[in-house]
Amino acid sequence: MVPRQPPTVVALFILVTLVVTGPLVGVDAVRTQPTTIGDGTAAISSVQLPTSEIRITDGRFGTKVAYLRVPDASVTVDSVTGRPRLLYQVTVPALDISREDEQVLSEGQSGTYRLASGDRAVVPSALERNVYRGTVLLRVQSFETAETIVAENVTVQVER
Amino acid sequence: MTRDVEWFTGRCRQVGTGIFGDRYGYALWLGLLVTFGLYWRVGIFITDTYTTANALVAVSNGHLHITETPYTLTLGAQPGLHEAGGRLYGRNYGQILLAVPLVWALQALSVLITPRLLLLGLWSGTALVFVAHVSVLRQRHTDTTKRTVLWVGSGLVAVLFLIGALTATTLPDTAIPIAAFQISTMLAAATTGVVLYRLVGIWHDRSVALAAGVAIGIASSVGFWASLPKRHVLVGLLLLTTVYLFARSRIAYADSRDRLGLGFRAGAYVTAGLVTWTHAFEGFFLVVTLALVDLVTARRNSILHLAVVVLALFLGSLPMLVTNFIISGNPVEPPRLLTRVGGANVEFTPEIGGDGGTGSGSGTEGAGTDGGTGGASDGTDGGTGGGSGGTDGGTSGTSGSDSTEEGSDTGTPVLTPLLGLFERLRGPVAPAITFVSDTVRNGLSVLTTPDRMSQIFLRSGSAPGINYAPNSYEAIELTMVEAVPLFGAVAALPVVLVRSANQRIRQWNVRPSQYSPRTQTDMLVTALVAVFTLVYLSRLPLHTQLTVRYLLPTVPLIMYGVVRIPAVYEPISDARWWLAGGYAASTIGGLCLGLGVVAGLDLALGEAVQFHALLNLGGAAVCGGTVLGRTLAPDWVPSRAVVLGLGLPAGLTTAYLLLSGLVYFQYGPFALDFIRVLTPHLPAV
Repeated sequence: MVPRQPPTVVALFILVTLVVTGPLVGVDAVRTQPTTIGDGTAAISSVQLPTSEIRITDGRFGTKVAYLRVPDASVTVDSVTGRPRLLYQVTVPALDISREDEQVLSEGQSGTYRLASGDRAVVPSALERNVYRGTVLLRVQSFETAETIVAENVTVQVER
Repeated sequence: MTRDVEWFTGRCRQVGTGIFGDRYGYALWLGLLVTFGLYWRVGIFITDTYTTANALVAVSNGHLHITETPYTLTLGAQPGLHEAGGRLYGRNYGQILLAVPLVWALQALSVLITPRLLLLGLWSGTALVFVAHVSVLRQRHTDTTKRTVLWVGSGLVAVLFLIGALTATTLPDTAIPIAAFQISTMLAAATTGVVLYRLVGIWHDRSVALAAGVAIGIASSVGFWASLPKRHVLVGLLLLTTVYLFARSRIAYADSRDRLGLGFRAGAYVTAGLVTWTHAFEGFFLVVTLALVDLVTARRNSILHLAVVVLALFLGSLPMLVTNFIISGNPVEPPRLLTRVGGANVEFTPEIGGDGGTGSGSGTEGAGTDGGTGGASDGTDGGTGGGSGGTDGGTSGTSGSDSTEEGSDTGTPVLTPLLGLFERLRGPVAPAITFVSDTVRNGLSVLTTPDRMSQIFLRSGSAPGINYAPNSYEAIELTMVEAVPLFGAVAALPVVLVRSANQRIRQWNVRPSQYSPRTQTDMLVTALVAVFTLVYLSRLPLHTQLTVRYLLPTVPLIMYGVVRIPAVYEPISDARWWLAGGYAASTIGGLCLGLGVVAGLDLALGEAVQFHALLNLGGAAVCGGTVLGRTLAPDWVPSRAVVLGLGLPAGLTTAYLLLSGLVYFQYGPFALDFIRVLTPHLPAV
């Protein structure tokens, strides 16, 4: 008997897929990708990281704070083995700020990844200077390797 | 055999009609659940939830006290952890027990299905049922036999399921209890929509009722909290259900069907009593307000009826009394009155799982917002303790020693002499009374400070009264109108109230018990909104409220009030398709505008939220303007203008809900992987 209702067909398909790929039957058709770091490494072909855009400007729309503006990094990964991660980190030690974003890669997942650590609010009264020193780091990490792709000292202008 | 099946499906249909009213209500409920699932992130957003989630794990393992902490904070305390008799307890046990069956169900299903695909499957199944019902409703309206909705809808669900399954990421088993906790809140939020649909449907036509149900679900702050397992959504649902049952009881009394009226009346008290299980003080205020309005407006207050009411209240409070008794040995001492466990103490609690943050899958994301809330619940509980300081410690001291004397197990103290019991009942009552009177007095004093009222209800910006440090100085706290700009329509309320008061004065000799059921219900709603706003005013404005969450239980009630304005419900019936079109256009416009501004101006989190706040205030102004205009000069403002004025803020709110979930607040992995693969293509804050 063929069910005539489209939802019934889809529901049956879903149910069968769920059970077949589940722990009891365990067909490997749907492989859930791990989200935590493991062994492995990744080859990086290009990095777009506009470090000159790191600066401190006033918040808008009535936020009444200043922001350390941290640009997004765009990393093109050529090949991946295992489960390494990309780590993007921007620090301004004098303001006690460290922003980071990570991306866990999976075997065979080459492509371009965006790492967005986001801006960080600073209370205006905490800004005592016009220029701060900061560092930018971009690394490939895993349990077996730690490769530094970008390590830069930057000057962070306060533009208020 | 076939007869049994028929009988069973008949019963199911009866129960379904009892809950959802009709197919529209059911479709509304499913649609809301499907929408909530889209921006559902599995994890813990507000630090208060660590305690309740750990307590949920404990209860699902068969005991009330917390022995292991699968969800832990690596630094600082778990806000709202309490101690009695050497054991650690959470709070909001009513809310927790609602989620326990879901934990068991998910755990049982995860034997067959991997957790990640289980969530995907549940969503897809709900979406399919939704599609099927929408298709039937569509056929009913268009009289065609074409089943486009069915084909397109099912196809879409199948495609999304496939994408989700093929890109699935691992979800650890430890995420199951928190996911169940979130599902319980989503169910409560969706049911709030259905109850409002049914309540409004008593007085107005279906299009108005449906609009109200959709609005409360995805065009108000209820949608924001739908997948965040705080108590507020549940309390809001119980409040609204109390009002609904009250309304039905007034109607039945008016029709001289006293027995039915009494049944619904008792139901209202049971529901009100149940609130005490989640938050004893909110329950207290609900019961007192309900009792006052109920006694004044009931057509029959005979001894028998009152006895039934008292019994119903007792039944509703019974789960709370039993839980308290098991925990502290004192039925009227809720966990919130017990000694708080704070600071580093928590780290010394018996625990097994030490790996902090892994429970939510990716604990590293969004630490900024995450860490923000510690102080919030300190605020709450501090308030409780504030009135009771010394007594508090004393009481818990005694109860602590009592329970140790009575042995570690729970059932034994039944033999305690009654006198001793009364002695202990008095302990927490005195500080509770001080707390209640202080709350009301302080709330009243806030009413006279316009600045503060404005920071709570009108414009947040960077409010001086809020400590933004716990949120990394992000101005993410919206006011009531910024969060629910549809409440701009409240601007017309004074005019409406003055008019109805005028009418009332002309019929001054009519007693409240003879008022129409509709007026009586409006009275209860007004009283509840006033009380539930007043009691929280003295704590506001506060950080990590996000949408003034303390006032969330009033949101469905205020939405009811908005819909009850003639200048709102009349135009909705007249121009329902204009409303739908305006709402859809506004949602899409809001999404595009939000994404465009975040990308184009490179906004930070606080800036993005405040941008939406200003946008929503604009929507609220338009809404208030058109509704007030229609109220004052009905001939000058056509229905279409009013419904567009309503659709605009509603759509902007939906856009904010979606963007807040998909872009702004990232604290855990998305439940659905087809959403996860979409989000890297959206701009980030």
